[in-house]
Amino acid sequence: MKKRTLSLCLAAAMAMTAMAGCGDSNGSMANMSDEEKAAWEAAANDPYGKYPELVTYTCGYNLTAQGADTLAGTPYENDTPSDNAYTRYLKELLNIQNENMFEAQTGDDYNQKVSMAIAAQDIPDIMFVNDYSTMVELVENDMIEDLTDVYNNLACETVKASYESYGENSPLNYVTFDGKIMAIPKTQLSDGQDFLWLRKDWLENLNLEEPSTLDEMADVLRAFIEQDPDGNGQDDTIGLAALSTVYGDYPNNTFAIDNIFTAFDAYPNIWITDDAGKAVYGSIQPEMKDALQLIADWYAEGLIDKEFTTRTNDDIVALISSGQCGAYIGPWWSPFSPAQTASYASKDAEWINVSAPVGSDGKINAINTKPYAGFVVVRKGYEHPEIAMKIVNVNSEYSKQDKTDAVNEIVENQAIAYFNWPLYCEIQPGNEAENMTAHVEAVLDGSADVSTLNTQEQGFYESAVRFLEAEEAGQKADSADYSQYMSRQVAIHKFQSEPANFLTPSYLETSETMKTKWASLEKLELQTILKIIVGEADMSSFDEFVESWTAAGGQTITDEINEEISAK
Amino acid sequence: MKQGNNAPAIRRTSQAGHAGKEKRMFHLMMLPGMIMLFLFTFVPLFGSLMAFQNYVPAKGIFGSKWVGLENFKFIFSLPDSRQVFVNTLVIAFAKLVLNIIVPVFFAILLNEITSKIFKRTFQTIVYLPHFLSWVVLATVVTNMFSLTGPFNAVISAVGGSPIQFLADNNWFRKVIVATDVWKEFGYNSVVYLAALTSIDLGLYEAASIDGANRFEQTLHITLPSLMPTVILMTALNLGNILNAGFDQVFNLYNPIVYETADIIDTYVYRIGMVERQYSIGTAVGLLKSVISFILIMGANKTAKKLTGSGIF
Amino acid sequence: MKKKMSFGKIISKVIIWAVVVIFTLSCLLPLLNMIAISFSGSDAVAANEVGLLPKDFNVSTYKKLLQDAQFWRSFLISVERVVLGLLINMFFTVSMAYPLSKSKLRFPARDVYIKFVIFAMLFSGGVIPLFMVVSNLHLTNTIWSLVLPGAVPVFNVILMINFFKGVPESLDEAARIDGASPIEILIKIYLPVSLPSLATVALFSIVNHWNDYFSGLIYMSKSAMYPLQTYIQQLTVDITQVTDAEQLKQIASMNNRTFNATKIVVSTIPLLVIYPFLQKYFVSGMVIGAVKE
Repeated sequence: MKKRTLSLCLAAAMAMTAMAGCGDSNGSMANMSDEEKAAWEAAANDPYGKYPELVTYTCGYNLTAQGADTLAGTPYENDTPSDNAYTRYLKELLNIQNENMFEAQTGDDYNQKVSMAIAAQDIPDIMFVNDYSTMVELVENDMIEDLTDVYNNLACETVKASYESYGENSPLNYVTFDGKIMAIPKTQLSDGQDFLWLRKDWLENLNLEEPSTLDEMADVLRAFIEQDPDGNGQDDTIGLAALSTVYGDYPNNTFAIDNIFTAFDAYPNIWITDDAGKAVYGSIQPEMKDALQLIADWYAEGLIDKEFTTRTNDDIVALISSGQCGAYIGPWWSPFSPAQTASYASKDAEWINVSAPVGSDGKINAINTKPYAGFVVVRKGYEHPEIAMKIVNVNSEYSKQDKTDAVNEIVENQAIAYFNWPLYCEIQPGNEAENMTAHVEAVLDGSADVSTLNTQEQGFYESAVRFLEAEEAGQKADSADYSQYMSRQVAIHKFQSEPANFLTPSYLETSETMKTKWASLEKLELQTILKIIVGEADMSSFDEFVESWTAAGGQTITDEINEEISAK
Repeated sequence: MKQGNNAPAIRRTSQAGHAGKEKRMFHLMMLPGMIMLFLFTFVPLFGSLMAFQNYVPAKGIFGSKWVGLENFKFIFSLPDSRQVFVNTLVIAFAKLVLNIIVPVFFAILLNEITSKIFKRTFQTIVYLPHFLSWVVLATVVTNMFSLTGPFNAVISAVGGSPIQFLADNNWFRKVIVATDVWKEFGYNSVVYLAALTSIDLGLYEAASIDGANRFEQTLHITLPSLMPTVILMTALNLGNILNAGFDQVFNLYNPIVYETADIIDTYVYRIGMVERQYSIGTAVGLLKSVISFILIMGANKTAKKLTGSGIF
Repeated sequence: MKKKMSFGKIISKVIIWAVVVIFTLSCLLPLLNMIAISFSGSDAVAANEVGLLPKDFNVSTYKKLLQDAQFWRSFLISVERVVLGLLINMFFTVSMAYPLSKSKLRFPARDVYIKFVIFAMLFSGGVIPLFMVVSNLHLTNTIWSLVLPGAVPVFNVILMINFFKGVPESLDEAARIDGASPIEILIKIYLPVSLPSLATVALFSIVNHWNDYFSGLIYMSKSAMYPLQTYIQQLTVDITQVTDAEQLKQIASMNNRTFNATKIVVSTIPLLVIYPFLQKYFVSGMVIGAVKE
């Protein structure tokens, strides 16, 4: 033990001296010839510059959600999180190698590792953090490097253009402190409005039109529960599926029924700007009452699943894929959900996304989201902070235009491996999903050539072709192709052809009092809303809720938020 | 002891020396374990200081701001803290009682089955649900208790009106307790089965010669022999009186039954969802530990008073 | 007379069997359901159409899991951990429970020790401080981080104390007079008569070590070093948490319920195999009376 400690101390001391060496601007280059120096500098100042010697950096590695290691039997069998298609590509291109300080699955596990690394005051050279508050904590405690110069010198065109595509609400705003860019924000694509997904075959069986208004939607739901849409002679279908939390968790919360609220101009669970320009909480506005009244009526009539309060996500999926339910609200990627793939494969279900229920102007009212989805940060004092930017460049731009075998390997890996880029951060324009659909569409209708597609789009295009061929031949397509085609070429298409109104929340962060009191307020809110819907409480309890919500901290929070907004 | 009293004086002194040696030996036997407990339990306890801080990981325990009893005040000031506390106690207490009665009952019944093969098979099967997590069982339970599930089928067969068990404040806690007992009774009965094996078979023989039937034997021999284990398990489980089973409740509850279902752990979890609250989480944990410790020590004292010998 | 008694016996036997069988069946059904799901097609599972028999029988999830090299690596790590952890747990359980089972007269310090031990059972400093201790001892990324923090299973120690208390004092007395040391007495007299209770605490230890996934997640920085439960946990995909279009393609191909069921079945089998070995010590009815005096 003693020996080990001693050797550690020695190592630390050596590291210190090494660090001290690079303290003065070009310290580590002191012993180099001018030529070598120039080579290092050129590499450090070029978005895709290759280092003269291998540079090893430590990082936190995000493993992606993946069912099992399906690499068995493929050429990638022996790949590891520090040696795989992605890391080899980066090594080849930039001469850099990751050494993972920790590896964990994206989400809670990874976040846990990050917070332990922070608590132990030992963070990797480069890492991705998910939470805004964690990033702010790192900034406030001076643990991460200022990336202003790195960004200005090295960010590739795609990255810069992507951030610009968000206009005034640029992700960069959220990482700029005292004019310094402290992190590279990952972009959150705008995933558009949620649609009403309906069983197209049921609509046809019952000779129903695609609904648009609330009344039309009610008629369809009524027909779905009363007229035996599946023609099996049994009264076994239910109405609209709904999440037990009703709304919230924007954007794109599958099975949440917020579109019904927004059709009444009610915007629950977010902060909106009132007529006086003040931030107010959407769930306590009077518009909520009309929406709740309608939903309660629908529930009483059975138009909404009678047991929605106790269903888990799996339960709802089971209802839909077993053919008991033919209506739910969900985002453009709903065809990827087992709810649709299973019913498509085994129940011959056909689905269609419909712009309903619409508000007074005939459009769906939707809610905008945060422009960022996590941050790349660099440890304070790391000598190659530019590596972070370079990896992001490769991930967001270079690899997409590169059509070599190495990139094909990466594309192959995307479907089978749980590996990813060492920095889980792709930067894209906010409407990238739409752009890609448009590119593929252009090729499909013959107005563009396949060569105009990037590697990802090519995959979508091939899926679409396979799906259309199968349809034409009267066969059932592979469900993966079904998912790609339906969501990208059919659902996303409606972003353009049936645009929605988007409301941008006036506040997206967590205020000081929210940190502790929000759980309590949310409990009050959900209890009231649900009881009104299922008829256990009447509408007067809504007013009581508004009163207690305001008194129990809601007013304090509202004031805090307005102060924060006016301070900006 | 009788023998020792009658022994000559010389023997007694050698025993005294022996006893001293024995004590030293006992301390020596305790030493490695105490070192481990010190390292891995007592040293990390400095983390409990977070309960008195506004802990920020990047600042560490030594850099974070001290706030005194602020976190505890906050916990008690929450409008729902009373409701949540009561729910926790009610659920945990019902589980505590039934998770002893049912396994004991089952162990005794199983012990009556003479066929070794069946006995072992039954025992192995009932011990298995313990290994299924609530995430997985939640689907099974919601289906069983849904409007189209078997329980409601029985209810409507006898002419009753259907019940949404999991969305009904009158039923939710009952379902929680019942399903927990169902899941754990097999595993919990292991310790009683072990205790049953230590009962002197001679006692039964003597009783049966006296004409006692099997039921009377159970009442007068088996149960009293199990009592020490029952008391011990009760006392140990008292340490869990503020743990009503996060995984289970979390996977089965919904906002409509919050008023009967929301327990301390689910509530703290939801507070942490808004933003990770190390300090509040630690404060709640500390509070729970203190209460459990007092309860267990109290139980031990009471047992000492009542039976003359403590639990531990 | 004799006939009458056996009639009453038959009735009570029938009732006892009926109750035990009903209890057992109630536990068996969800397990059969789990096994059926693991062998079923994912579409049928998603539609909740699988009862006690598989539908669209297939073994693809088993293939997927068992072909996976990391699965076996993790399996071995878990086995190693259980063996090592069990030995360590049993050592501390026995060595601490024996002195603590003695009266205050023979071991005056026991009450103080007991208080410490119970305190240790109920209080914990939380994940981060424990992690910092383990990492300062340079135990992270070694098997020791999985077995040493929980080396003293306090709950088992207390159980064992009580089992030892049940051993007749006279046995101990006799040996002491013969000049046997406490350790000799423990090994030669106490352990042999305590096999049922040792089997019980061993079972608890094994189950705890086998099922624990959290310490693997915390102390192992490389996924290649995860024990089985931690690895298996990693394979779960919570589709409700997917809001990222990049992940969709990967998830589309799998249904997590079939796969979850397979994982549960596979990871429970070792416990199922081990149980009968331990069971024989507490089902067969050791008679302590036989060795009494």
